[in-house]
This record gives sequence, C-alpha cells and structure tokens, in this order.
Amino acid sequence: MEDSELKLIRVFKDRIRIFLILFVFGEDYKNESEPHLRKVFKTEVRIQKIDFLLRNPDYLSYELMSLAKNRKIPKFEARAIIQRIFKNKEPMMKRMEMEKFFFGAYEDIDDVISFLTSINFIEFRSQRSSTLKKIDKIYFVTATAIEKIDDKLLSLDSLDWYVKRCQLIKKYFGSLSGTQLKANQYQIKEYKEALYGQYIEDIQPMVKAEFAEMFGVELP
Amino acid sequence: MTFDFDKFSRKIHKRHKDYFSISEVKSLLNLGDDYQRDTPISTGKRLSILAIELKGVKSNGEVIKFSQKIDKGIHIWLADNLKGISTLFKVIKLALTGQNDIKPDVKKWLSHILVVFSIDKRKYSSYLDLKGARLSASLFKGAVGCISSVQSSQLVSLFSESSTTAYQASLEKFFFSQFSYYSLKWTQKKSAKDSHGLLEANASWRTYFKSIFLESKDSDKLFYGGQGKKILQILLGLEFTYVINRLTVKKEMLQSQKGYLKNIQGNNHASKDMKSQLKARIVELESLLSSTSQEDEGARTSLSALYKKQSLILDEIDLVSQKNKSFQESSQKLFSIQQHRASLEEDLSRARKASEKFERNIIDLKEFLDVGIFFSGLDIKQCPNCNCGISKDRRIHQKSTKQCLLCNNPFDKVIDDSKREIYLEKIKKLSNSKQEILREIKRIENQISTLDRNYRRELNANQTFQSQLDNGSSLFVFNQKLSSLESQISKEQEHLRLKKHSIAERDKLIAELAVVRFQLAQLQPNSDVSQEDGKLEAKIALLQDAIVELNEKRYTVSCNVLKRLSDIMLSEIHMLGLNSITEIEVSKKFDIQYRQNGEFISFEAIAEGEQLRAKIALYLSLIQLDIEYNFGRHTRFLIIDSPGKEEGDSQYLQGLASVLKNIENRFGSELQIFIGTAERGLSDVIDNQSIFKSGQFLF
Repeated sequence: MEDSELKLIRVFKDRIRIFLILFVFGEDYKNESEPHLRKVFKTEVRIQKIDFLLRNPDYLSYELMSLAKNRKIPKFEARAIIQRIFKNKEPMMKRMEMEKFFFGAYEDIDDVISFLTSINFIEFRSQRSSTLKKIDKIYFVTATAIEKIDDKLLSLDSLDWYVKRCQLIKKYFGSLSGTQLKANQYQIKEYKEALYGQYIEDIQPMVKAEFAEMFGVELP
Repeated sequence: MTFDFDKFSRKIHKRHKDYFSISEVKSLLNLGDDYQRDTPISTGKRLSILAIELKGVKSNGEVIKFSQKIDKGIHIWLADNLKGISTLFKVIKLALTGQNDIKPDVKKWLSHILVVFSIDKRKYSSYLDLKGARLSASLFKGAVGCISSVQSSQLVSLFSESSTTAYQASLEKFFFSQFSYYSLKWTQKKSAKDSHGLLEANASWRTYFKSIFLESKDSDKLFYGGQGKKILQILLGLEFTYVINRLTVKKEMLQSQKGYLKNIQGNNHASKDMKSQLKARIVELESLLSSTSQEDEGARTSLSALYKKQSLILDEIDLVSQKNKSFQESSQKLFSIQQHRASLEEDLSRARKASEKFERNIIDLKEFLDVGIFFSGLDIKQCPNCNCGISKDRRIHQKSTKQCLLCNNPFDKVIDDSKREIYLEKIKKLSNSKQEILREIKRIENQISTLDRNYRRELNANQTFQSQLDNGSSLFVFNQKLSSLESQISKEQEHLRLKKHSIAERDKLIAELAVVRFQLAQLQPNSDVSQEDGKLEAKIALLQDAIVELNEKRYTVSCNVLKRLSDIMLSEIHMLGLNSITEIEVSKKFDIQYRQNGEFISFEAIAEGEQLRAKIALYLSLIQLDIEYNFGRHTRFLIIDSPGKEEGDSQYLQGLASVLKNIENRFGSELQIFIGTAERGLSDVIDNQSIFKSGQFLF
C-alpha cells in the first residue's frame, strides 16, 4: 500500500481507538445542567497508558503475568488470555509502536480530540492550576456519540477486537490511574531503558521465556 | 597436464592381474617422469636466418664470395635451375645440422661457411671451416660479423668440433634443447644375416630438419623416410608421445625375443652332439653362476618381498583413501544439506513475514472501510478551533461546492461507494497474495521436511564411515609404514646398484643359461619353455594394452589440436587451388587422410601434380597452428625448394602467390620462409626477393 494510504488508515485507526478508550473507560456522568454529556474520562496520561497496552499486546501479556505472579488474578485466567493473544499473532498483527517521552509512552492526540469534538462525539476541558499551567484534562462523551455507537459502531465486525480488548484491559487495569499504569509499565526493563524520542521495543521473546517458565508450556 | 602413474598402473594391472603383481606392472611401465614430458603448448620460439656468407674458389679459379643478409618473413630467390639456389639451401642445412648434402663438385669449391641465425632474440653463428679433410666447426653465441672476423671475434663458442659426427651431435643437442625435441625411437632388424633380434634406431635433429627443408626431390612424400609420423608427432608435441614411443619399442623388442624363442622351438632336429654340447654348457654356466654371490640373490629376493609389501600397503592406502573420500563426501553432503536448510529457513521466515504483512494490511483495510464509512456519515457540527457550531447552511454549501466547510480546500468523502469498491478489490488482491504466500510456505515446509529426512539418512551413513575409519588404521600409519618400506627399498636398490656390474654379468649368464636350457628343452620337450613363452606373451599383451590406453588418452586430450590442424590445412589447400579435396582427417595413428571425390585417400594417392600443394599446406598449417593457437613445436622456419617445379599450372601458381602474400601479410614478422624457384611468375609477389637474371649464378 502507498504511504498516503497508510497515513489515512492510521488517522482513522487513531480516531476510533482513542474514542473507544474514552467510551469504554469513561465513567457515567450525570449533570442536569449538561444533559448532553453522558460519560467522563480523566487525564490524558491515562489515555496514553491505556493506549500503550492496547497497541502492544506483548506488554499487556507481561502485565497480566505480573498480576498472576502476584496472585491478583488466577494463573489459569492469565495463561488462557496470553495463549490466545499469541495464538492470534496479536503482537505482530495489532502492534502499533509508541515512542517514549518524559512521562513514558506518548503520542500526540490533539488532532484526534479535535476531530471527535468537531463531530460532537466528545467535549474536552482542561483544569488549570493557579499558575494557569494545564495540569489536568477531562474528556466527556456526548449523548450523540452514545446514540451513534449504540446504533452502528459496535455492530461492525472489524471493531469487535478493539471493544473486547478495551473491556479486557478495563477488567484488569481499569481501576488504575494514569500514574499507576505508568508506574507499572516502568517496571519493564525494555520500557524503562528506552531512550526519549525512541520507539519502545517489543518484548515478545522475554514474554515467551517467562511464560514458559511460569506455565511450563511454550507460546506459539 | 598431470598424470597419475599409480592410477594408470592399477588400471592396467586390473586387466592383467593373473600374470603380474602391481609392482611388476609398474616396473614394466615405468619411464620415470617422462609420462608428463610432452605438451602441445608451443615453446613460442622461432628460428630465423639472419645472414649467410660463403667463401671458396670454383674449379675454374673464380673466387666465391657470397654474402647476404635476410629479413624475417618470406624471402624468394628466383633464378634458373642449377644456378645455386638448392646449394644455398643445403649450405643452411649443413650449418644447422652438420649434414653435408651439397653436390660433390660444388662441395670441393667451398672453404668457409658462416650462417648467422636467431632463436627468438638470441643470436648464434654457425661457422664451418671446410678446407681440411676433416670438418672444423663452431657454434658461437652472438652474431659474427663476417667470415674474416671469426678468428678475432670475442664471442663465446658454445662448442667447437673437429668432426662431422661430433658437430652433428652437438648441434642436435643444441636444437633439441632449444625446441624441446627429443629422439623418437623405432626398431629395425639387425643387418647381420645370422643375427637375431632388433636394433633401436633414433630420430635425429637431421630427421626433424626434413620438416624445415622441403626439398623438391621429396615432393611426392609428405614426410621424408619411413618415420614421417614420428616427425609429425614431435612437431605437434602431443601428450604421451614419448611414453607411447618408448613402450612400443619395448613391446617390439619383446616380440622379437618371442619370435626368437619360437624359432628355436621349431628347431626339432638338433643332433645328439648338439644336446651334449648344450648339456656341457649348462654345467659350465651353473658352475659359474654358483660362484657368484648368493648375497645378490638375497637382495633381489628381499627387494621383491619389499615390493610386494609396498604393493599391499598401497592397496590398503587406496582402500582407506576411498573410505576417507566417502566420509568426506558424506560430510560435505551433510554440510550442504545444512546450508540448504538454513537458506530455506530464511526463505520461510521471509515468506511468513510477508504473509503476516498481507494479513495485517487486510485487517487494516477492512477496519478502515468500516471506520471510514462510519465517520464519513457523520457531519461536522462544531469548529474544533473556536468551538462554535457549524450551521446547516454551511454543510449544504460544502455538499454543493465540494469545498471543506472549515478550510475551504477541495472536499471529497474519504469513503464513498466507488472508493469502497476499490478498497474491496484491494482486499481481494491482498487475500489472493496471502494465499499464494501460504502455498509457498507450505512448499518450503515440505522441502525442509524432505531435507530433514535426507539429513538423518546421510548422518547415519556418515557415522558408519566414521566408525569404519576409527576402527581401522589411519592413513598416517600406512604412510609411515610406506615411508619406512620405501627407505628399505631405497637401501636395497642402492645395494643392488653397487652390485650392478656383477649382477649384469650374472644376468648375462642367467640369460644364456635360460637360452641353453630352452634349446635343450626343445630337444627334450619341456613345459618351462612354453611357460617362458607365455610370460613373454603376457608382457607383450600388457604393453599393447598400455599403448592402446595411452593412444586413446592422447587422442582424447589432443583431438582439438588435430581438428584445428585439419581445418587450417584444408583452408590452405583450397587457397592453393586444390578445391577437389573437401575434408582432411588426422587419425589416432597420425595418418593424414584427404577426402577427394567422396573417398578418403592417403597423401601417396593424391595425383602427382597436386602432392606438393598438399605438402606445403601441411607445413604452413603447422606453423599457423603455432602462431595462431600456440600449439606445436615447429621452428616457424621453412625452406621450400622449387615449389613450382612439378605443378606448374597457372591456377597453382596464382594460388601459391596468393598464399604467400596472405602469409606475408598475416604473419610476416612471426615466421621465416625461404622459397627457391625458377618460376618467373613468382617475381614481385612479395617484397623480399633476390632475382637473378636468366643464366646468372647466385655465386
């Protein structure tokens, strides 16, 4: 495929992925003065860290193994999920590299947020500190978006994976803030040691080795 | 070309093992390093005459003072018959070979001859003083200016001889070494009436000079004398020529010996006196033999035993080498299978990556289609810049003008029906490509699995070879044994060499005893004689076998050279006007056959008026073969005396003139050809010519 085509595809991938993060991870929001807003999602850092897990199934697998190791989830559950991820070759098929910046994995999502705002899918606000520096960003999902999603989007086969993966991440990591997610990700050597501005490398071999050690079977 | 004598001996031995051990075969065939003596690759050397000077006094008192410098290329002397051209050429022959064929009357006139010649860049001078009863001659290194300066010349004399025979021998040695010639031999019957057996005769430098000097009297023969094929063989220098010749002579000597025995065998009417004489001689010979050292016999027996041991070890080495070779080949196979497998693994990895890429592209495109359609169906409601709402009118305006309602740039839906079709087609193509790659992956996997099976099979074989080698003695041990044996053999040979003289004497006695016993056996029938006869027969058969084998080898490696020679010869013959000859073939036995009117005929069968052209064509071709293809050993120097004598038709002369011009143009500086003729039609054909008026003498 041509570069222009790949760029266009990428634009749409980013739009839907970020929207689904806000949609799936957003908490219900009810304010009589703002009846058109139905869900609220806090902080861009959290978006970036969830997006990292969505885009890197090998890191997600590693984090699931860590949960199993620390007995926070049953081993068999982690084992089944990770086996399925590797069986479907997700670390290759679904991986979208992310660069590392000062606060870990990061990618500029301003354009995506602007677009989602323009079609009236989300509203975006930022809280400012006393020094007027932006310190927090809040995203609202609109009633229009929920209506459209209910009608059409979730019925599309090609988006099934995103929805289910967001739900899975939410199940195991949904309660964590952006800072906590970042702290977890910094536990991984390859993530921690990645240089600023460089892509964070994949950790498939390491995951396979740890998986074999932990479960006594090889990943495909 | 390298020649494996051991391998050759083993091959011959296989066919004659009932009669001979391998060491006996080697001993019969052994000619030292001479199996590799010949090579058809040209030495690149060429002989050129630079100057000729004659001095003397004719019978009428007229002083002979002839001097001529000669350039390279073709030179024609044109004078009436009997005016001295042939003598001039014979003078060159005398200076270069020592053989004096000058007519007796003219011979008496000449007192001094100086011929300056060069072989490549080195110059030499052959100086002959014919005044005395005995020849006095020298070969100098360098060019002597003239006869009168010989005595004062500071040039180094390579040799000076005071007899014709000695000068001939020295010149032969000199030219043989210069042009890598050697004496090919043949056998001939002893001349004495009552003597049996054969004599060895050698082809000399004088014989080979016949390939340089083509005399008019020999125009009906392709080569001079009965040994013409030998001259051709020497001139071509084909591989194995030397050994084939020597083994042939050996075989003929044995055949003669066999004939002699048969002759005796047939003589059944010897008298009683003869018997008693023979018996008495046997007693005498046995007595003489018993007095010779038993030690010599011991040494021979010991040497023979050592040879047998050596032969056994050589066989063992051969066996171990075979096993080693099999092991090496098997290891090589394993290695190449591994390499092939690694390369297939790389292909497989590439194919899998390509398949994954296709799959990902398909997923992305499908996702893009769904998401694109979804988002394309939504309207922009708010400006992301100022957060103001976008009015319905602006949206309608966008649809009608196809201009973006935010930036006014041309607007087109990301996905519409026609674009959807294009993307669906792309997805279909990608799916096909993916299927193709998956088939390729399957094919590579099958190949790898076949390779794995082959590897396991080869590994088993390899381990078997390895264990065989581990269990047996190593080549190193055999070589040590062989080395020790060779040292013993060498000592025994040295011992025998020291005793050579006495052994030779004793051999003579033994030989005589054998003959006398044989003669007696003929009178008193005895099976030993037929055994001796049988052994001789076997040796002759073995030598014949080896000769045939070597002849085949020679022909195989040399057929290209012979083919080129035939082709050049045919082209030359046509240029000389002999178009009736359509093909020329040089056989394995060096018979030159000419196809004329559909039939192959020998040189002798060519019509008299055409023979000289065929002959000149052969020699010109030999020189061309050297110059153009770097094959052969001709000296690139030719003297053709009276080429127009017997074949004076105009077409021939025109052809000859054309060939001469052609050669002069093509190879002028690469060769030298002297033509002596009385045919005035050949004047002004080439630049270098000495024309003498009608009736004028050269000197």
